[in-house]
Amino acid sequence: MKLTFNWLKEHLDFSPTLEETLTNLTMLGLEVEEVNPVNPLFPAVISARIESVENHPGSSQMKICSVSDGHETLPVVCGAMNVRPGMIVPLAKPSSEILGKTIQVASIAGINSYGMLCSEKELQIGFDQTGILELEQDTVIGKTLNEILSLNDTVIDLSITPNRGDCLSVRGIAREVAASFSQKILKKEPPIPAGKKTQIKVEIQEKTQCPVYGGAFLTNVKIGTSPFAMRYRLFLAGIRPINNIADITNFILIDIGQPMHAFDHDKIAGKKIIVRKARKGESILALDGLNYDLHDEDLVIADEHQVLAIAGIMGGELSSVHADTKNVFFESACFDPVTVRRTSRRLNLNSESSYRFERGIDREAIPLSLLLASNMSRNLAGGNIIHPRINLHDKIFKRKKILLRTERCHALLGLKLKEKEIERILTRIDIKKSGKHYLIPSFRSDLEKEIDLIEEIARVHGYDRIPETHEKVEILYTSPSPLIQLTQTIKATLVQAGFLETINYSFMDPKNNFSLEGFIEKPLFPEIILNPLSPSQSVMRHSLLPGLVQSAVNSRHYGTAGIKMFETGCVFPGKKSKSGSTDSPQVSHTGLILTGTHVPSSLGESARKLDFLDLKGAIEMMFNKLRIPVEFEPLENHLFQTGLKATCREIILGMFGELSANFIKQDCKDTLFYGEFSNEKMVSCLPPEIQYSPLNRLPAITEDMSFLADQNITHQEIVSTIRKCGITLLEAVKLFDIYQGKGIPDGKKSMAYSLTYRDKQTTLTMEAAHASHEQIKENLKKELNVEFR
Amino acid sequence: MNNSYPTNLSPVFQQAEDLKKQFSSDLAQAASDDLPQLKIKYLGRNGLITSLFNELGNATREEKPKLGKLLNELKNELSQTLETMQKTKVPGTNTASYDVTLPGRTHETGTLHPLTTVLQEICVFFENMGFTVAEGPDIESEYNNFTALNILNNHPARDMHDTFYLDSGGLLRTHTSPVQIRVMQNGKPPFRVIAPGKVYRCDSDLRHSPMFHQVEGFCVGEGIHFGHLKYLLKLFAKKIFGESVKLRFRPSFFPFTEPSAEVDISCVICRGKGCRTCSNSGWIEILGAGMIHPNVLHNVRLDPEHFSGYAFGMGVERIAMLKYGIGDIRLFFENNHDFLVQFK
Ligand SMILES: [Zn+2]
Repeated sequence: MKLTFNWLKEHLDFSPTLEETLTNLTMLGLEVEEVNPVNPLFPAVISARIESVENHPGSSQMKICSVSDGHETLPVVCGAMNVRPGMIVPLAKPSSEILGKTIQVASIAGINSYGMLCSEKELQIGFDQTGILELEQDTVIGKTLNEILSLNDTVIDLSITPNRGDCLSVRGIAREVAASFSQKILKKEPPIPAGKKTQIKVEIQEKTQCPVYGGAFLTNVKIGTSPFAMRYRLFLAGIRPINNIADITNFILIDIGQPMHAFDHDKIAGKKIIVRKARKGESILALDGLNYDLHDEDLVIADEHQVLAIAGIMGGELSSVHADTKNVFFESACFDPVTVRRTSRRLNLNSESSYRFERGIDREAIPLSLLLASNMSRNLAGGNIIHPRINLHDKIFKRKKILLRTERCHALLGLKLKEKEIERILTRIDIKKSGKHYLIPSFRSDLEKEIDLIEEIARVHGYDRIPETHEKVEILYTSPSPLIQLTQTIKATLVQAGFLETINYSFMDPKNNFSLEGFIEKPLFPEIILNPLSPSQSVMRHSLLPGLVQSAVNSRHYGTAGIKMFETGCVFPGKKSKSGSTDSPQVSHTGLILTGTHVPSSLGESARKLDFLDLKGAIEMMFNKLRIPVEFEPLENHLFQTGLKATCREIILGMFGELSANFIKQDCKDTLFYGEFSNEKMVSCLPPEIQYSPLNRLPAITEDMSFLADQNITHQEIVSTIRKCGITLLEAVKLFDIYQGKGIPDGKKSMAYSLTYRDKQTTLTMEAAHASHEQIKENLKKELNVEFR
Repeated sequence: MNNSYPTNLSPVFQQAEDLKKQFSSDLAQAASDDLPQLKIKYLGRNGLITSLFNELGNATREEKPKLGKLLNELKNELSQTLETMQKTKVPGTNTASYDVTLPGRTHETGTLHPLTTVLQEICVFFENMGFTVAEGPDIESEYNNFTALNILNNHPARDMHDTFYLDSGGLLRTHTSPVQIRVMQNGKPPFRVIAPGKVYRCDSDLRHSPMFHQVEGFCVGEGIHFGHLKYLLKLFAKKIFGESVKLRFRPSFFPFTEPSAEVDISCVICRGKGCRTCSNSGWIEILGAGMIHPNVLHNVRLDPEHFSGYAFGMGVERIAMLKYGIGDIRLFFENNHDFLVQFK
């Protein structure tokens, strides 16, 4: 809501400063968005009279005007078509500055021009650029523009919350300002004109959706441009002036908040206004130049033949006021907010009028709006007023009454106010006590219940005056869900392992319709967003993979050598059927991605490609930290070149591996290693709390072995062969070296293991350990044909 | 000392010189654990220096004082060297000299996303104040997201939310407030709950992202009032933005709270003098709050005459942007490596 400070002050009978006004507005909940002082300075732009106009000999597009400023008469060349002798105009004299340009005496097509005649747009005091600004005929010439026009003002832009329809007008805001100073606004009481009754009959078919319909009829109006002062006001409020009659309705809209519409009286067929529902197949060419098809739920204003206006939203082109209009019918009514909103949304047609009807107008301001319109029209368009007519279909419109309990107010605000104080506070905003109740003024349609009054008390009294109170509460400790705890542990562990946490969008490109069979299925019916910002964000993700791949690839493009990233977040497995339930489950996953080079963090380490084992190590670290006894099994999946699945008690917790090259269609030359796990399934596999087991203080003996094995024998085969011997003394098996290459025959690899033996009952002897060790070696030789070195 | 001795001198001189060289080489290879043994080897009762002193008897009369002096000097030098080495040698190293300015041996750790860090800081504060963390789904019903929260269809308040709708008839929640409904429908007061999560609105520019994070907090019980809310949020602001921060409660409008407030903190950049961040007002809006509307309590079958409560909600990105001076919200979801590593 844009208004000017001068306009606001016209509604007050006291003069607050701008600063205190803005502070009070803010603290009353009317958020000040912007404040712009307007003080155009035109020291060298003066009023002047055009004495004569001649055609330019060199150009048919130009005129030569002889312009007098009272001292001298000089020629000024001008391209505007509205110049005529006797017109008073703003003259920018040579050396004055307009829009950052300095005006100079210049030869235009061979004629010397001494200055420039200005349009209001050129002076930035209006929208019109079609012609030279015409000043009032009685303007003294030779005065600066600042002396003639009062231009200085301040534009205030307020953000009004949707509940405060009453503050969508200068008067409404003035009421709030006055209340904040414990003052009152000035009452506008235009004289009630005498006259004959209108010929127009009004028939209201939808009385609940149009409880009040008023009209005023004027004859012999002269349509033209509004005076500068009026246009300037509208300009500052951001409203484009149209003609004097339309400007009057717009002025009243901003001034007191009542939307009005002006019809060309002579276009109303049958001299009858009908407020009714639209009929199937009806349409209207609206004032915005577009044709709208109407629906039988839309409320319209019609005459006997056709629809004249969409009620409360926009008038029709055919019945609107035009340059040749003689007789005008002003409409000022009250339309149902929901009906207006529904139609406005369906037609995607919003107006200043619909905006106000949706938020509720003050039906008691309807008579005032008609009086103002009639009087202003007589002044600005010279019409004769035929009696304004008001159809009040709820003549018994009652103001709402709300019961307020003082103790309820105390209890909710924690502020002890006496009943008298409460009464005084509410009276400031025109809410008066009536018996046990409070009487709500007609402009506050938002106040319906006791709680609304309590808010008003707090608001007007000031939130800052409510004391901060320490709460006496019984603290009930509930630990966060296991899922929340698990994701926190995973995050901490992966950060420790050198991974960066990412957060990717929950939506993705529907092209990502892959599966990880047995773990993530591609949704048969994905969650589709009906109104996505772009097609690449139009379905909910069923996996963390697309986001992580994108984040990794983007960072590689920016030149990061090694990427280790993860995300924990929701994925959406989709609906079970096409129609689907709205309560489609979402599940929590952890995804890891790794690519590029391992950047050495210490001296002596060498740079190398990040690989599968880096990923596996991080995953093992994660499961170790969670103490989930996980097993890795080979995986056949088109998504992975090579991969493993992680299982626990036959539940697949997730999958990881090297992403297959033909899956990564992105512009990426790197090998990507990726893993994804279900957080819920990990929760289901969490072991019980750690239980201490007695320390074994009997000594252990460690013996190493190293051998050559066929290169396709896996570590796991070796470990299980060792374990298969069933040596009870054997406590731990650890691989500590593996080597292939120089010095090792082709097809072989050298491996070294360290085995720990301990007897839980008695001190283990060297001999016993050695015997076990030898037995294991024998078995390895026999089973896997390894050669000890 | 780098002087060599004429050959006509007693061999002891040469032996002393050799001993010194041997000591240097032993020292160079010694780890700190070996130092005591080195001391025994050279300076012990049967050590090498002692045996050289025994050779003193074989020297000529002229040479004796010279040799005695030399051996004493050697002994002092060795014992002094050993003593300083013992003080400075770092365990595990086996070089006598090293550059202490070299980077330490380490392993690179990762980092949490800045939003997670801020979110955790917020949640930890409220957990310490007796709140329990709860979560709700991102896909919500129209009822939980709007109707139950007193945001009625065909009311202009709906325009405050640019909602993503799903083909299933659900929607992506536009705020974390539906968690209020879920928690209150499934439990009994008193409630003290903090609910972090992702929320969605169809909007994208420097300050708006189609997905962002909110933290919702609420408390419902007997005798809860606006003064309690003010007290709690003041403590919160001091925890997150520092002791000296000032708080301002401005009336506002949310359909699910009444009275409603927008809460400003004194600008953290200019400390209230006025700057670009606070559009010269000296204040920055950080959260919305209020007393839970009786209609909302009624919708979860709680008697508003008996129970009351407050609720508040804040944008995590907004707080992170203020805290770290980030100008573009979209950076949070680009996950650029160089951006993320700044928050280690
Ligand atoms: Zn500032």
